Amino acid sequence: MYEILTFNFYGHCRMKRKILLTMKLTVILLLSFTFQVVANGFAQNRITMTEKNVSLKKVLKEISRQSGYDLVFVSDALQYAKPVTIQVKEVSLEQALELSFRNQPLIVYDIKGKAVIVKDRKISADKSNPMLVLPVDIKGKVLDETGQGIPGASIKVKGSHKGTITDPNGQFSLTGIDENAILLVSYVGYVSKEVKITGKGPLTINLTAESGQLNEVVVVGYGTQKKINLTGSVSVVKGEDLENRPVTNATQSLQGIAPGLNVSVGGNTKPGQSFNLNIRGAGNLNGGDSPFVLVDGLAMSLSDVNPNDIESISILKDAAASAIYGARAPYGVILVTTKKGTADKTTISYSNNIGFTSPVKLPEMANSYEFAKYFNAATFNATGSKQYSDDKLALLQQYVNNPAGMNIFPEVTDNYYSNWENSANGVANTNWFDFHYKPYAMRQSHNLSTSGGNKNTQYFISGAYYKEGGSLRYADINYKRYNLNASISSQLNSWIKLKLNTKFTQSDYVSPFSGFEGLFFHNLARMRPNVSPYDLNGNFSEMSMVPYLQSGSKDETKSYTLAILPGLELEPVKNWKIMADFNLLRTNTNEDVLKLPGLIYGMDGTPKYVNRSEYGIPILGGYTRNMNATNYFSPNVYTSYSYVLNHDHTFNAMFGFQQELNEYSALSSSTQDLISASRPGLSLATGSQTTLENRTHWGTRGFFGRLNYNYKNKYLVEVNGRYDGSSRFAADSRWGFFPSVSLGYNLAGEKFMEGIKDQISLLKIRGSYGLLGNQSGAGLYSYAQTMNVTIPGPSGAGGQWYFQNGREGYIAAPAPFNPGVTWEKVQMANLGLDFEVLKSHLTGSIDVFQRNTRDMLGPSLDIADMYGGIPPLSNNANLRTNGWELSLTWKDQLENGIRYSIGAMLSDNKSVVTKYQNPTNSNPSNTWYEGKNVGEIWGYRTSGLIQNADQAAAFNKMNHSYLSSSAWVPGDVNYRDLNGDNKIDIGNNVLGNMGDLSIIGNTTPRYAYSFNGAVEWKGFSVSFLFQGIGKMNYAPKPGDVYFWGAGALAQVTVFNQHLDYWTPQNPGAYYPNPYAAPAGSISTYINKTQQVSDQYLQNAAYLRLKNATINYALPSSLIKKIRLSKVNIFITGENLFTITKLAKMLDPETVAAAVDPGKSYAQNVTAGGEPGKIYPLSKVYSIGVNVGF
Amino acid sequence: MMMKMKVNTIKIVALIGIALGLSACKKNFLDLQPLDSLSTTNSLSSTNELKMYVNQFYQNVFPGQPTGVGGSGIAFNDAGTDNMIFSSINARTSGLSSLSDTTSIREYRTIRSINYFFENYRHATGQASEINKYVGEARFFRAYVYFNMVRKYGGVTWINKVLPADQEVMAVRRDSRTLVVDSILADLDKAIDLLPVASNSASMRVHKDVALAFKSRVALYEGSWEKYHKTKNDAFFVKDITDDKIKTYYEKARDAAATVINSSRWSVYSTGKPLQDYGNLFVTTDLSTNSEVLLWKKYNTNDNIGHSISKYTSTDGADMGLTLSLVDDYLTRDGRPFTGNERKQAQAVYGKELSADLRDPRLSQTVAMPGQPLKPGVNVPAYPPINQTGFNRSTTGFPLYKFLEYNNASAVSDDFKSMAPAIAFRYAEVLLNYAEALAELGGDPIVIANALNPLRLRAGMPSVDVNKEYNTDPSYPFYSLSPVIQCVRRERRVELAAEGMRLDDILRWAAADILLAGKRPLGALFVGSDMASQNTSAGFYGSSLLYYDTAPSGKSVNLYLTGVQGDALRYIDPYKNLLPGGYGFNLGRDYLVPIQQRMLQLTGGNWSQNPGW
Repeated sequence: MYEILTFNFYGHCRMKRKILLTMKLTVILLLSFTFQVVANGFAQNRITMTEKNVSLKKVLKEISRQSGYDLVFVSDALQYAKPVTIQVKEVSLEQALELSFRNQPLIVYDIKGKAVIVKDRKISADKSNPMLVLPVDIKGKVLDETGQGIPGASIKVKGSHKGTITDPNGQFSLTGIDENAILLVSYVGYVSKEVKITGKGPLTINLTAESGQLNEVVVVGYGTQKKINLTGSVSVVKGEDLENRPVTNATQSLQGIAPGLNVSVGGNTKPGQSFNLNIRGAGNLNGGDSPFVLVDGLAMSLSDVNPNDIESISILKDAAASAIYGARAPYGVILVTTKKGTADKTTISYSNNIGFTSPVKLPEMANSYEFAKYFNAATFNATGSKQYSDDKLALLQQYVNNPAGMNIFPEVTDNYYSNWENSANGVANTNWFDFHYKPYAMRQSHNLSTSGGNKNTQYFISGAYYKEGGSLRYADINYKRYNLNASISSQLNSWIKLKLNTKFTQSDYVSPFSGFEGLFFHNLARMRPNVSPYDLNGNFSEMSMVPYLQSGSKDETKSYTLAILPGLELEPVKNWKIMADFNLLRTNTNEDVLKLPGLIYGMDGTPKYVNRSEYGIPILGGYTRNMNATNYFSPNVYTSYSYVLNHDHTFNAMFGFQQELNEYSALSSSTQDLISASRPGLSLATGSQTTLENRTHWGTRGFFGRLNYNYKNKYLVEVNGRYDGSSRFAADSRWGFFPSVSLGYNLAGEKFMEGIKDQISLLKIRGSYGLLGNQSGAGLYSYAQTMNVTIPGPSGAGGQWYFQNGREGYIAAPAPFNPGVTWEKVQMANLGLDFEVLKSHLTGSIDVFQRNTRDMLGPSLDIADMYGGIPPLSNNANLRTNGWELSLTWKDQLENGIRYSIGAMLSDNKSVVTKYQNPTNSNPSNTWYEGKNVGEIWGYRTSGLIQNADQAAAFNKMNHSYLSSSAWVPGDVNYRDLNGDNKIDIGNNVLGNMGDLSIIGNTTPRYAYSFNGAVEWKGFSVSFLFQGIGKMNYAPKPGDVYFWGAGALAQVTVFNQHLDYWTPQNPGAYYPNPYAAPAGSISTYINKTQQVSDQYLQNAAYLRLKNATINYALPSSLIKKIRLSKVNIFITGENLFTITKLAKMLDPETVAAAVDPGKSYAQNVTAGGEPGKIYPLSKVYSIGVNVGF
Repeated sequence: MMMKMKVNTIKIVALIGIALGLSACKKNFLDLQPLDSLSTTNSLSSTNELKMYVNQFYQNVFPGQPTGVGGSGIAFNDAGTDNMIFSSINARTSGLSSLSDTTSIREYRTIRSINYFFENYRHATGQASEINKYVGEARFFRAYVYFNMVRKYGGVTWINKVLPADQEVMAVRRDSRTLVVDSILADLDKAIDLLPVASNSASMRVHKDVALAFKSRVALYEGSWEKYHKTKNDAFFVKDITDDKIKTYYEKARDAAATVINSSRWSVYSTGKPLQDYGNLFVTTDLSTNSEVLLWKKYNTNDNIGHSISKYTSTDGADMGLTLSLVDDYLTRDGRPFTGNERKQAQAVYGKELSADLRDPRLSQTVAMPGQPLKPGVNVPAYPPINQTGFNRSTTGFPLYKFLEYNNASAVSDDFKSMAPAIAFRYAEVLLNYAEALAELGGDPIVIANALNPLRLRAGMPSVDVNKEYNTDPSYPFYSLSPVIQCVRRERRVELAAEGMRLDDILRWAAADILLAGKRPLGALFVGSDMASQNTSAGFYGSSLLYYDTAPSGKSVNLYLTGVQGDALRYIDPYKNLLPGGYGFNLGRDYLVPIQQRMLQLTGGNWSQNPGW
C-alpha cells in the first residue's frame, strides 16, 4: 500500500494536467487517507497575501507555496473557478482557503494530510444535497488482465433495467443514468464486479479471470483469440512453466509439455544443441515434416531465443489453426511470443542457474582379462585362432588383480610403441570410458531483464548468458551463448502504434574435434582395454587419443543471429486495424577449424608429431575457415476488421499478404602446412589453398485471409484460406490454394446448462478440416537440372586421379530430375473437446485427428538398376496419420493454504502408407508399399539359441545359404522356418511371399505420455515432470557392435553385458556365439547370429524423470526490508532417473537417434551410424536464484 | 480534427498500398535459378567442359591399391585364389556368398553418366581432334564399365541412352553375353579410332594403345570363357555360340595386342638388373615416362592421397600370404619346372627355394626373402612371422614383397602413406594376351616365344622353351594342357602375380574345378624344414611358440599342418580347420555372382537369376 501510494504521489507531482484529469477518485481518496496519517504534528506556516481579480489557481499556488501544502486538482475542477480577490495577513491556511473559496459555488476543497484537494462540487456531492444529483452519460472500457478489451461483456445498472454489452473492443456507453449509480459488470469466465460511477469521466473496468484457463488469450496466426473461442487445436505453454529449467535451450524444455508435440533428443546431445521438434508424428516419408517455428511472427530457430524471454508458446496442431500459414506450415506451427513491457509497472529481475552435468549413462567396459577371453572366443569361433596366448591371458589376469611392478609393454619393438592398435599387444587394464569422461562438468546461466513504461510507450529489455562445458576429460568442449532482446512499442497518436523488437544471439561452440568427432566416439568404444593410455614415461600414448585432443586442434563455430522486427499497428477507423511487419533476420556462422598433429614421445623422450590417418590431420597443420550468411526478409501486411451486430453476432475478418526472400551464401577456404601453429591463417600457410562457395536462394509469396463468426460465444465458425507460390517449383506448378474451415459449439453457454454452470463452465466441441501444402521436401531448384563441379582441395579433397598437371576438377553428371515437382498436399481433420468442470478445478481437452498427406514428394520409387540413378522425387505417394491427444489438469487450493496441481498428457499417432509406386509390393522390408506402417521392422522369428549338435544338424538340414553358407553350430541363433519350405530366406521378397521374414516390431514412438505435478505452500513449492514413451522398438542391425559386442576384428567392443554369451557351460546366455573376423569376411559369421530377429528386438519404451524442482520464495516481509520484490531460491535437476527395459549400454532417447520416424527401417539402417557412439545425453543438477528488484 | 485524421489514414493506406504494389510488381520474384552449379541448358558446350565431364570417370573406375588389411585393391585382389590367402576366407571362392549380401548394380550409374555425355557432347564447339579425344575416352569408359558387369554378372541389359524414370521401361530382358561383349568391342573400336596416339603415359589419360590393350583383354576373356565353359558344358556359356565365333574373339584379342606390339612404342621396362627391375617397376612412384606402363594411377601423400600396402606388408605378414602353389610355379633359374628332389632339398632350408640363384628371379621380387631389406635399417627376418597375431602374422610363410616400399620410412609406419602406383595397363599384359590368343588359335610357338621372351629377358631367365618347361607331373594342375598353353598360362601367373588378375583367369578358363573347388591352399614346408627346429624356447619362435596337432594343456593349437603327426614332410595348412573340405566354390553357381532379388521384380520378371542361385 505504502509503495503504491508513494509511487502515485511521486508520479502525480510531475504529471501533466491532462493525466490528472483522468485520475480516479478512489486513488485520490486512498492517497488522502494515507497522508492524513502521516501529517500529524506538522507545523503550519501563516499566510500573507494581497491579490485582486486573479485566477483561483494563482491564489492557491501562492497559498501552497507559503504553507508548504501540496495542491491536488481533481478532475477539471478549475474550469468552474471564478476570479478571486483576497487580502490577508498572517492567517491560517484554513482561513486563507476559506476566503479564496468564498465565491466559488462550484468548487470545494478539502484538506487531507499535507495536501489541499480541490474538486468540483459534483464529485464531493453527497446524497444530502439532492439539488446536485443529475442524470449523466457514461462511457467506459472493460479490459482483461492483459489490457485487452473484452467484447460482449454485460454491463447492468444496479437496481434498474438499464444495461448494455461491450463492443468488440470492450467499449460501452450508457446514457441518462444516475450519477451515483452502481454498474454490474460480468463476463463468462471472469469474476463479476460492481463499479460505482464516479463523475462523467470514461471508466476503465478491469476484470480478472476466474481460475481456469478459459479466458486465456491465445496467440494464433496473425492475431490473438480467447481460448474459449478457439475452434482449432491449439496447445499453450506459458513462459513461467519453462523458467528455471536447467536446459540448454527452449527446445529441451518443451519435452512432455504439450500433447501431440513430440520432442526427441535425436543425436543432439552435445552442449548447446537443440532437440528435434515434431507435431503429431510422421507427416511424410522424407522426414521433411518439422513444425514451422515463428518467434514474434518471424520464422527463426527456437534455440536462438532466450528461454527466459518467452511469454508464451502456442502450438497450432490442426489445419484450422495453421492454415493461415498455408504452405509454410503443413505440419503444425509453434508460435513463440516474447515478453513485452507493461505500462506503469517497472520491474527489474535477475536469475541464475548453476549446475553440474554428467552423462546419464556410460557403458560398463569389461576388464582386459575378460576382454581377451571374449576376443579369443570370438576369433576362435570364426577362424579357429586366438589372438591372446595363454601366457598373455595370465599376464592380464595378474595385472587386473595387482598391476604393481608389471611390464605393461612386453612386446614393444620400437621407440614409439607402434602397432599397438588392433593387436593383442600390451598388458594393462584400461576402462576407456572412465579414462575419457570426467565425473561432472559445469553449466551456468544468468539472466537480467527490465521492463516498464507508461501508457504510451512500453519496453522490455533483457540480456542472458549461458555457458556449458563438455563431459570429456581431455577434450575441452565449451558452449556459450549471449542473448540480447529489446522490445519497445509506442502509441504515436491515437491510431498509430510503432513497434520495434530486436533480438541478438551469439553462440560459440568450441571443441578439439577438428573433423574427427565421430571417429573419436567410434574409437573410444573399440579401443582394447589391454593397452595403457600412458607410455612408460607417463606420457599419453597415441592410442589414448589424448595427443590429438590436446594438440591445439580446434573447431570453433560462432553463430550470430540478428532479428529486427519493426512494425506498425494502425487503427484509422474504430475496429479496423492494419498491421505491417517488416521482419528481417540475418544469421552468420563462422567456423574456424585448426588441425594440428598430436605430439607423442618415444621411449627415449624424443617427441614426434603424429596423425592418426583417419583423422586427416596434415603433419604441418591445416586450417579451414567456413563462413556463411543468410539474409531473410519478409514483409507481412495484414488488416482486420471486427463488427458486432445486435450485441450477439460478432464478425471478424482478416486478410493479408506475405512475401519471403531467403538468400544464403557460404564461403569455405582451406589450406595446410601452417607457417606457425600458434598463428593459423589462410595467408599464413605454404600449402595449396582451396576456396569453395555455395549460394542459394528461395522465395515465397502468399495471400491469406480469415473470417470468424461468433454467436454469443456459443456458436463459432472460422474460415481460413491462403494462396501460396514458391520459387521451388516451375511456374506452371507453382501456386496452390489452401483453405480450411472449423466450427465450435460451447454447450456451457446454453440456457439449459445455466443451472450447473458451477460444475461445467466450459464444454466445447470443435471440429476442423483443412488443406495445407508442403514445399519443404522439394529441392530449392527441384525443377531445374544442374551439374555439380568438384575441384581439388588440400588434404586430398576433390578428385583422386592425377592428370599430367596434377589433379583437375571434374563435372558430375546431372542427377535425375523432375520438372513437374509441385506441392505436397496435406489434408487434416480434427475433432476436439475442451472442458472445464468441477468448479474449474478440472480442465482438459481431447483431440482426435486424421492427416492425409497426398501427392507426397518421394522418397523416390525403387526402380531397376539399369535406370542408373536415384529416380527424382515426384508427387506420387500418400500417407495417412491417425492419432489422438488427451490432456488433463487438476488444480486446487486446500483450506490450509496448500495449493497443488497435477496434470497428465497422453498422445498417440501412427502412420500408414496409402499409396506408393510399388505395384508388385516388392522388397517390403526396405521400401514402401501400400499399407506399410511407418517404422515397421521386418525380422526373423527364432527358437532361441541352438543348444546342441542335434539342433544344429536339424538346422543345417535346411538351406540357409541365403544368410550364410557357413554351417550353424551350437550357440548360433535358431532362426525359424516360418513358411516351412525348408529354407531360411526371404522368399521372393514380395509382400505375401517373404519367406521367413515377418513384421516383428515398430520403431515409431507410441503413447507419448507425461505427467507433472506441483505443490505450493507458504513460499515452498515442489514440482516434477515425468516423460516417457509407452511403446517403441529398436532392432540392432548386424554389425552394431555397441549392442552385439563382437564383429569385425578392429570393432570388437566388449561391455559387461556381452560376457553373457553362449557356451556349453552357459546355455541360458542372452547373447549368441561371438564371432570376430576381418571386416571382409565377418558377414559370413555374424549372419548366423546378428540378423534382425524377435529374440534381440529391443523394447525402447521408457519413463524418465525429466525435471524436478524445489523452489523457495522468501517471505515478502523479509525481502521488503532489503528493497526487493521477489527472491526465489531453487534446486532443480534434469533427466534424474529412467526406467526402461532397453539393453543397458544404450539410452532409450538417443537410440532413437538412429531412428527417424519419417524413414523406413532400412533407410534408417543405411543412414544411421551405430547407436551409442555419440556424445552421451546429460543429466543435470543445479541451483539458482530468481530475484526481482 | 476528424477530417485531418481521415486524410492521414488515406495517406498511410496509400503508402502501404504502394509498398505492396512495388513488391508485388516484381513479377518474376519467384523465378529463381540455381546460383552455384552448372546448368544443363547447353551443357558440355566447350572442349573444356567435355574434358572436365570425362574427368569424373577417372576418379573411381580403375582399381586402386588397398588401404587396409583384407581390403580390396590390386595388390590384395588375388586373395582367396590359389595365389594368395588372408587368414579369413574369401566368401565367393569358398562358396559362402549369399543372396542377402548381394548389392545393387551400381555400374549402371556410371553408364547413365556416360550416356548423358553421348546425348549432349555435340553442343561442344572446338577442335575436332580435341572433341574426338573425349568422345573416345567416353567410349572407352563405357566399354570398361560394361566389362566389369560382364565379369560379375554375365549378360546384362545394354543401355546406351539416358532412360526415363519409368518402371515400364525397365521391363526388359538381360542381353546375351555375346551382344554385350560385342557392343563393348564396338565401343572400343570407336575409341581406338578417336583416341590420340601416345608413346608414354605422361598425359595420364586414356590413349589409343590403352583402348587396344583393353580390347585384347576383353576379347581374350570372352573367347576363353566361351571356349572353356563350352568344353565343360556347364551353365555359363552362350548356348548357341559357335566355334567360329569363339575364334573371332581370340583373333580380335590377338590383333589388338599385335597392333600395340607392332607400333613399337612400348617395351618391357628393363635397366639390365634382372634381380631388381621387375620389383622396382611396382614401387616407382612416377611411371609417366616408363616404357612399359600405358596407364596408371598415381599416389601422392603430400595431398593425403596414399594407400596402406607398405604399412602392412612391412610387418612381413599383413595377415596374408602367397601360396605354395604359386611359389612352386616359378621355373628354375635355368628354365625347368621346379619339382622332385630339387624342390624337396630347397624346401628343407626356409627361403632357399625363393632365392634368385635357384629360381626365376621374379619370385624373390614377389615373395619376401630372408635378408632382403624390409624397412629402412631392417631386413626380412630369417623366418616368417607365422606365430604373430593380427596383421603382423603371415598366413602361409610366404609374405608378399611386391609393392613394398621398403625404403620409405613413412610408408612402412603409417596408414595411407604408401605411394606404390596402381598400374591399370602395362605392356607385359599385352604380350601375355597376344601369346595366349595366338596359342589358343594354334599359332606358331616361335612367335609365341618371341612375344614372351622380353619378360624372361628382364628377369634374367632363358628364353621360352615350351618343351623344356613342360610340367607333366600329374599333381600339376595344367599337366594335361598342351605345352604351349601350359607355358603361356604359367608365364601369365608368374608375371602378373598379385596384380588382381588371377580370379578372372581361373573363371574364364573354367578352371575352378582343378584350382579351387575342394582344394586347400598351402604354405611353406614346416615339418621337414629348418623352420620346425626354430620352434623352441631358444629358437626364432621362442617368444611365442607354435602349437600344432596337440597343444600342451592350457594352450591351444595355433598352427595347422598337412598330414598327420609323424609324417616327414608337413606343409603349413592354414585352412585345415576352417575349410577342411577346401574351397567350397560351387561349380554350378559361383562362376557368376547373383543378381539382387529385387531386380527380378523390378524388371517385371524379365531379368532372370544367374545359374545356381
